[in-house]
Amino acid sequence: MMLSEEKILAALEEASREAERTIAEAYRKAKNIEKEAEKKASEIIEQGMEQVRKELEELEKKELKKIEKEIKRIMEETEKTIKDLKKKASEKKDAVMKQIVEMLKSMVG
Amino acid sequence: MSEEEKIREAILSKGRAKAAEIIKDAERRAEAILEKARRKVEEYRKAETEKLMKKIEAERTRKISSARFESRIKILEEKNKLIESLFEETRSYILSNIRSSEWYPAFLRRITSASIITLGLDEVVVHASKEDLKLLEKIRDDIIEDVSKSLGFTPSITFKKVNAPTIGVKVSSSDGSIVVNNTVEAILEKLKPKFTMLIAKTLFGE
Repeated sequence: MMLSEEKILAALEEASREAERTIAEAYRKAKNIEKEAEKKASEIIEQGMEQVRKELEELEKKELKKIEKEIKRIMEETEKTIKDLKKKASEKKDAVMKQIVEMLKSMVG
Repeated sequence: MSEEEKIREAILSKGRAKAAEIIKDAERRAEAILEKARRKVEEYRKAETEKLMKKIEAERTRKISSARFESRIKILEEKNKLIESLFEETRSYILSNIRSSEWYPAFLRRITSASIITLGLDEVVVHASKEDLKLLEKIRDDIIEDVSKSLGFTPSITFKKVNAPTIGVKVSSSDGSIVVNNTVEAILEKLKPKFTMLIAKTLFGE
């Protein structure tokens, strides 16, 4: 009987040791999982930031192009306004000259 | 299964369950670490985008304001050029055609009388070109009448020919120390601000 109890205890101790090994192995795996996660996180941050920088570079180029386009539009409008002014001046030239002559003439009283 | 095996299996099963829990916890933590990294990237993206957009907006405001200012200046310069050019053209037209205008004799009488009255002296010299002197001789009496009426006395008026091809008159005191310049050139120059305003108003409604 004594011998059987010892046998059982020995078997239980063996089972306990095996369970502890399983748990120890799990801790080791867990550590690896976290370590891998940290490594992957660093990569995500590094690659993510690089990606963001590239995107922002593109965005900046795109926005600057928009500004240039707007400036071009302002300048084109300016040229058109000047063209219109010249046309208007040419159309009204005779009327203006006549008015000035009339003003001078009016000095006669 | 023997009792011994049952207890052994129970111990091992508990160990396996604990191990699975440890792994699951680790996986949860790993996911949290990855999620934190993704969040960090997103926060970086948000902050940098905001910073960039502020920079671009400032750049846009600066460049567009500068372009609009440049545009206004260009238009203003062009208007001034058109006004100046039209004034010059009108001046040229007047100088070439005024003498042949039917109202020129009346005009010459008016500016000559006005010049003499402005001086208000007993003796004056009227300087004019050969062409205008001919006309002045014809309207001499009219001028004396205008001046006498205004001044209450009749000044001595001498006509003097100038060699320059001027239109209109210059009236001076007998010693030449005081001069009233009423040549058409001078009149146009004096009236330039008024004419410029008239041109601007007629051309551009300003």
